[in-house]
Amino acid sequence: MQRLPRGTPILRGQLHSKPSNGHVAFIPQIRKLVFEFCEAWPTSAPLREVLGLHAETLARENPHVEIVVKKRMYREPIVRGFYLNDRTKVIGLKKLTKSEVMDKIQLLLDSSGAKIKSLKGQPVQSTTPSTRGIWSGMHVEEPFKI
Amino acid sequence: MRRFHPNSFPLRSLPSTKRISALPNAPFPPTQLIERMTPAQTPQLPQFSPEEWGSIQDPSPSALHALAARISFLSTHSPAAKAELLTHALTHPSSLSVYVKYYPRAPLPTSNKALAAVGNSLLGLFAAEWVHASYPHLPTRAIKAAVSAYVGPRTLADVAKEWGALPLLDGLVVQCIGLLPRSVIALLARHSSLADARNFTHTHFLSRIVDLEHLLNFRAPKVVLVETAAKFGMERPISRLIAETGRYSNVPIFIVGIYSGSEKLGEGFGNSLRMAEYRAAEDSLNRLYLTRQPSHLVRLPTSAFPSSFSYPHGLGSFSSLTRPPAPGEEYVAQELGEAEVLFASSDRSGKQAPAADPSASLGASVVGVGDGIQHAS
Repeated sequence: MQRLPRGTPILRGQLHSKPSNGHVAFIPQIRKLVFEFCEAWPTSAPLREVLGLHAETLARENPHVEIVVKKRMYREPIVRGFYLNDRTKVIGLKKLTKSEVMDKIQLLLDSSGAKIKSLKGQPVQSTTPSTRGIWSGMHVEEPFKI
Repeated sequence: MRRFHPNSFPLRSLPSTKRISALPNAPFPPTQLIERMTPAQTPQLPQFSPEEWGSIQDPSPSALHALAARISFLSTHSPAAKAELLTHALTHPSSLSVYVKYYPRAPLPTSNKALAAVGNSLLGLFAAEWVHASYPHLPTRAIKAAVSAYVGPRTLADVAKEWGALPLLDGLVVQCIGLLPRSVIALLARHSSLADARNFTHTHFLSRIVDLEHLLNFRAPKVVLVETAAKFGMERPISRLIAETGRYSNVPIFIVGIYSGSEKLGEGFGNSLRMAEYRAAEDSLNRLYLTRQPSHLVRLPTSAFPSSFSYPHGLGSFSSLTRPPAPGEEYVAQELGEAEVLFASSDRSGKQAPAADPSASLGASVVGVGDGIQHAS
């Protein structure tokens, strides 16, 4: 919550709390996986095989994900991940082997759905104050004298 | 005459990313509508809107199962039972009028209005008792505001969104989205136990982050501090200068601590003595009012309630509320915190009595603020 200027009335309806996912309960961010494949083309063969062998296991191991299998005739196979932040991630599975397809599925399952951005130059920001406090030049043996 | 034929609706023009599995399982268009389509009745027929009709269809079972798994809803129940209960929790009262329009002869589904009312009371109960037990000295109005922050309408809408329930609640406004979490709490209390509903509230609502310090706003912290110290039977607080630099420069810094006897109550900084003392008084009050009970010592009154509220013998079994608990399970009430100091509250003008001059409040013999600070030896 942003610190308001002194005297600003606090309106009951506007009070809210910030999420802390993973603090007590953890809600995985993926909501739905949609597999789209062609029944005729050989580029979809690995995905068809993966779905035939592992679709049930995948659904059982990830009950929080809605798994949808959809025909998309005469197109290349894709897998679409839907996330809680209203974003989607789509990965093309054309000419991937079975193990590569599995890796891509795992990637979507583990992803947060957030937009990918460079980690370089982004300072780490904490949401809570540090336990040790901030170093203060005024609390040393002899403060700096001007 | 307008014929309702599946191909006549531009279903393919719907965004394919949104409704892939939300496609209704009921026959489309509704058979009841087609039966009534005699030429004489045509003018009375509702204007058919696919979106509106789609909004009253049951959500797909897979989406419901995923939602139930995401929030670990009633894990002992069968998937079908969970899906049915969640469908109930997702039925907003506003959808009933649409339902009547499209299915005039079908029995009306039950809306979540009653559930949400029960759930709202339970959420308020759990949040209020937890805030009060965790922050024993928090002032009453701050407790009320904290409860609103933890389980208020905005938080409920956010929580529903974070559960991924929004695609199932398409087109509802924020106030209506909040009915889902409330209904879920009510369903847990009804179909599992009160303890489960409480745990769920603690897991999903009370573990969220609320800045309580922001809710405390002291108009004259120094006056409040003096009165609060008197109420707690402590020595009159005295401010002392802990450190300073650049007093005669244009960037002075003062660190002021407030002490009651030998006990340090708080500390503040400022580029004037007055500001530092003000911040120190505010810090002292925050430290007192935001004192937190360690979580393993928090005792919640509802833990003394029976685990379920089923009354097989009618209201007579209210005696179960007063039944002596099993040995080792006795509820020992937590010590109550001191009520806050109230001042300048007799009228609503917010003006203080002239005697309570904040500048003359701290220190034993004080004329001005600068003089009031006793320098640390």
